[in-house]
Amino acid sequence: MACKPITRRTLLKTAASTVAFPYVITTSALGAAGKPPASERPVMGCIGMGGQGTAGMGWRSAGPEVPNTGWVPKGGFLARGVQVVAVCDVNKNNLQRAKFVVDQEYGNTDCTPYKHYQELLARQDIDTIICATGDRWHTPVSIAAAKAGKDIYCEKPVSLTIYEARELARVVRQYGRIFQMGTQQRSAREFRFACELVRNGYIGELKHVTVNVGGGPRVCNLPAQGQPPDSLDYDIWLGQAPWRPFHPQLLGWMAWRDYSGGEMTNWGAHHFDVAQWGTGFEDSGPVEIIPPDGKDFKVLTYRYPNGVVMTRNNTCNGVKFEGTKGWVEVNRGYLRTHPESLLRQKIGPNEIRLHISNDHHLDFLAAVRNRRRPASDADIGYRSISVCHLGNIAYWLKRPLRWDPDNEKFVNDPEADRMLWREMRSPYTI
Amino acid sequence: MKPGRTFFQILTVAAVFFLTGGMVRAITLDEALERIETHRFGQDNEALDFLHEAAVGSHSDPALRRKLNDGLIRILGSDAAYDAKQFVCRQLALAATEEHIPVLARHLGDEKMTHMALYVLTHIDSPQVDKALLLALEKATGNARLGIVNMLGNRRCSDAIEPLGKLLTSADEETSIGAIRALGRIGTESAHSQFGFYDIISDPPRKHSYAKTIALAYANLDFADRFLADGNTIQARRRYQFAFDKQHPAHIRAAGLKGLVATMGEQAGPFVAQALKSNNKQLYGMAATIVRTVPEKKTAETMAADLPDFEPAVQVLLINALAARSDGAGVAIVKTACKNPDVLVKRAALDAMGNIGDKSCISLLIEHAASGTEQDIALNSLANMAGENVNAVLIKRLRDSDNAEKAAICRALLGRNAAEAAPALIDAARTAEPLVRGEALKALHNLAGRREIPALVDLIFVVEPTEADQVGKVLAAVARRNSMHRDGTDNILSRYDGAANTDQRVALLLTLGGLGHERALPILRKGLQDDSSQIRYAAIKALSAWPNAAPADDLLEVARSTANQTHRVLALRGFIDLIDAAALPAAQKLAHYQQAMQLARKDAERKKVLSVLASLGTLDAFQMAASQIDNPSLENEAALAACRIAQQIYTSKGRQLIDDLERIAEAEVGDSTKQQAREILRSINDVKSFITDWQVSGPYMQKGKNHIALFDVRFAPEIDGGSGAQWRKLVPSAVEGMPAGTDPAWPWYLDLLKALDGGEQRVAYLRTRLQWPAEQRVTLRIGSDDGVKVWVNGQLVHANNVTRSFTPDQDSATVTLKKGENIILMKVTQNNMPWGACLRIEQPSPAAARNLAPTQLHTTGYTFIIDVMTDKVGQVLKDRA
Repeated sequence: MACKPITRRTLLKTAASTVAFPYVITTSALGAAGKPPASERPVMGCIGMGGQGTAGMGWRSAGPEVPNTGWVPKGGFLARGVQVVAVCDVNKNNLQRAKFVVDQEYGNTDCTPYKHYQELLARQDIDTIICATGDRWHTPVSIAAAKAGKDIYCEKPVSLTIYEARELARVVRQYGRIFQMGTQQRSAREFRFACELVRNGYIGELKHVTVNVGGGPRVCNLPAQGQPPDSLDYDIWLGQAPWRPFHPQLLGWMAWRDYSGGEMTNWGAHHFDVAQWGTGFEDSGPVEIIPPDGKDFKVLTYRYPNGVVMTRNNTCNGVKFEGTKGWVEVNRGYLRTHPESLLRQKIGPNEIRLHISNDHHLDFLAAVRNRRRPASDADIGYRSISVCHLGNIAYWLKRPLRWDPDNEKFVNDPEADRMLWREMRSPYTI
Repeated sequence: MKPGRTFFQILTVAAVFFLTGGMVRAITLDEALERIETHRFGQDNEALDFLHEAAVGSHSDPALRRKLNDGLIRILGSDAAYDAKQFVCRQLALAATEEHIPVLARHLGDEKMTHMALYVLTHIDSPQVDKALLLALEKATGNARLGIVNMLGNRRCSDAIEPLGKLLTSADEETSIGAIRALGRIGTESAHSQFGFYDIISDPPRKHSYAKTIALAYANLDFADRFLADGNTIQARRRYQFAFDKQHPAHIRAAGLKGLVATMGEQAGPFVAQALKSNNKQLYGMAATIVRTVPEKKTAETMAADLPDFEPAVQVLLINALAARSDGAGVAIVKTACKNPDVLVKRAALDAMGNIGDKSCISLLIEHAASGTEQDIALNSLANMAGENVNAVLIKRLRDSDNAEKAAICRALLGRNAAEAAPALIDAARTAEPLVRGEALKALHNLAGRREIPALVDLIFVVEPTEADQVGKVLAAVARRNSMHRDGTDNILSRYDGAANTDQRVALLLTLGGLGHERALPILRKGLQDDSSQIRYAAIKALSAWPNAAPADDLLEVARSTANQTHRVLALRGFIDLIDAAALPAAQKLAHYQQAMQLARKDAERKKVLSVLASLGTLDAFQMAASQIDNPSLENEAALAACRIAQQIYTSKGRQLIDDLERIAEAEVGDSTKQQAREILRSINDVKSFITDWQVSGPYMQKGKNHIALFDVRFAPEIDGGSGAQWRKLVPSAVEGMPAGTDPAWPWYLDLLKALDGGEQRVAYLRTRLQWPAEQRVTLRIGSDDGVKVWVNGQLVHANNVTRSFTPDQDSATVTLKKGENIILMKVTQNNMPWGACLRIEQPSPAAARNLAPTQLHTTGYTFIIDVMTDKVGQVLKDRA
């Protein structure tokens, strides 16, 4: 059966009609088999139902066909007592799979699939959302969700540019929403403990941080090739990025600058975030960024206001903090210190203790319930992703840059400031 | 810098760039620009790269920048295709100036090009941009108009206020919503007046669609924030109050409430109280957020002052909000809440004490930690409460309190890691009742330092005989933690003869065992010969706890010779434990276990041997365990041990395990053990289709080329049959017999990151040779991180230039293997982070597989073994030698 395509204009009307009637929770959603009734569970909508999004939402029987399941808390949100009522994706195949997963979980067919996230956000019964779209959609979806009164769990990286992330943080504050960035390393004991050791001076005065992440994206010059899959709304998929003809490799979007910051923001959102956590510059950032010059600076180098130097280098496992008395090296499931006795150090009540979370999803849900700051909120996300973007900008401009983290601009460098945001392709905006 | 010199450098850059690609070639700016004029997506990489480098590199070279810009803007003004103009605009986004506005403006209104023009114009700080946008706005339609409207708003263009106002009533709802948003972004009183002028806000809301109504609400908040930022508090407050009006959805009202507090401070208390009593979670949730985040301590306390009047759920939120503040706001309020009859409120308050409490709260927490249903919460708060004097107060209370409270204080001091409490804890252990002594000793276990060692030795002579052993354990732990094994040992040895009774000597001997210093071995060995059965027992026990295998023979001798059954069992178990913990070769350990098995007289002792046997992970150990499966009283333990060993070695020894595993799967043993055996059999079946024995060559890199580009660069293994390449066997795994993988869970995964010591932007080659019994069409199933090429007998059969993470069977290729020797070559690219691959051979059907005989090939160069797929695992595997 042919379907009438939904235009943005009809979408606006649809969204309006969606909220004109009270949403009715079906009886099958009212709880069974020992679960609390839906009315007592956070009601969630899930936007971006690729591998990461589906795994984050939860798929108890996840197998190899669901990639990246090892990167999210096992069982996702479905295993943590939320009631997922809606899923959204511009890829019909992803959407159908996600609906199948949710319906299978609840033993009914109640999960509503949406192509347009605006329709999902207009539902007043939804309290929280997951945003697990491609990077270029993280900020627009999250800002729209915040304005719609939803609390947000957004996969990293939170933005495509520095000013996007800044605007996201502003709107989240403006509307008083709970926002958790999907940097689950903030909810892992080894990272927390490593940062506590550093923050409390157990390695002496911090001098150097090494971060091992991959590089940035490239400018895409793929030829036009083939047609987008029938299952995909290509224009929405492109989103804010400049229009260009389809090529199958675009679907590996992380390689291209229009859609992603590459591994610098993909893994950088994790490891640079931990570096900021350990250095105590969570609400600020570096003041100098120097790309490799083949001479004095072999690798990307950052300087912090207190003189701490941070480099991107593959000489460590994850993140390594080096001080005047020792070092701490940390990665997932990996923690080494020098001296080794630091591993047994107990952090006392009068020392700096960092936010305790041992499950990133549960921490988000607890923050929603208690209206408290989660492990990795929008302000932290903004500052962490800024470090990643600053590195990319230095690589692209191939010259040292000075950054003013208070005024959120480069120092006397209007040309570099041009890299802080990109005009979005209308109708997409924030 | 002189332009000529700069340009020379760029030429050099270009020459170097192409040299790395295998050819030497220079390109000039004019040539590059000329090529871009006819550019199409996917073409002209060298010109694109050149111009991009020029745009970046001309930052400090005005002459070059001008020449570049002139060329770019000429193309933009021409009838070049969208592809070319998009590229041009990307460069101009970095380099364009005011003078380029007219050409850019010509593209405003064009549905396709408007975005790229805006992409540049957004970065030009000039009023001429605003004029160009306003001019274009008059004629633009659809998305082009919307893009212009958005940018005018983002630029806060005051000249756009009236034109945008006119669009508020546009018949096109998307346009009117865009105008609403843009005026909100401009955020001046003049911009706001447009809403009144066009009678938008005073319209009854029902006249608007939901989308427009909510857009107005968003814009209202934007105006409010902007007024506040500009110091126009009165207007800001009006806007926030409007947002808080009941006509708006709760989350808009909540945002309004936040703004009211920002503009009114403490004066906004009634609004906050209204929210707290609203029974709407958006509103009372925001009120709690405000209490948590409002900067002034007094304001937070005022807003939370009526806490008992609210619903319990709201009280809990407010208590948590106060607890999250770092300024101690609301301590008195929370202290009062500790007595609240509602258990959730009470618990939240006691929990909050840990964050915001001070020494005035300590008594209250001790009281709750000593008794009642909230002991754990109160104790946790005592352990976490910050404050320089908290430890001192607790230490003082340790002397003055009743026993229940003393016990709680000991636990709290332990939780606080309060090392300065050690002397007081020693006192408590010496003088208090057993309940307190037990808690004090637990705390001392972690907190006592080297200075407490003599006092702890003294304590052995003071406490009840039954408690001496516990003191000894603490003493040993303290000595170990402080690397004082010898001092502690000497201290005890010097006091040993002064022990008043056997209980004390027993405690001292056991402590010596815990310390494990060689200077204690003579006295412990002597203890094995003591007349006292208790002393002999203690000596055996102390030696059983020894940190190395030095006393293993002593224990074995006791197990052989003693007539005391208890001592014999104890010594034998001690012997087994020492061997288990010792760093000995597996074969040597196995020999000791065989000795122990021979000395074992009861099933419990044999079961003990089987339990440690499982850690060996060798075929001999497996066979020893399997030999006991037929013993009905040991079959469960034997089967379990065999399965645990099989789990470690099935990838390499699978065929030798199958008979016994099948036997276990059918035996009268526990269901979980049977299930484990079946799963290992399945794993053997799965693994055998993977190729796990490879040679590796690389890594190979080339300057300036990333993994995508390296995919098509031919390195030595691809040239002349790889004769010029250096090959070596893939680093063997630490797991015995595992041929390539390093992870027992993924034995078929070829971990190139580990094998080749990490790195990025490179490739490696894997090569293997296999003997196939007859010509056959098969499917290669391939997984890789990142891209992969596969050749079979020199023919490229698969290529996938991707950046991806690994899962098995991501790709497949159908190939024909010839009878006899086949050579498979695999190239794997590396972007960053994990790097590896796997490959397995899948035959069309089990029937086809059954027709083929199993094969095995050893060559001088390298070895490859493959099992043929069958539906009956054991049959084929057993045939192999």
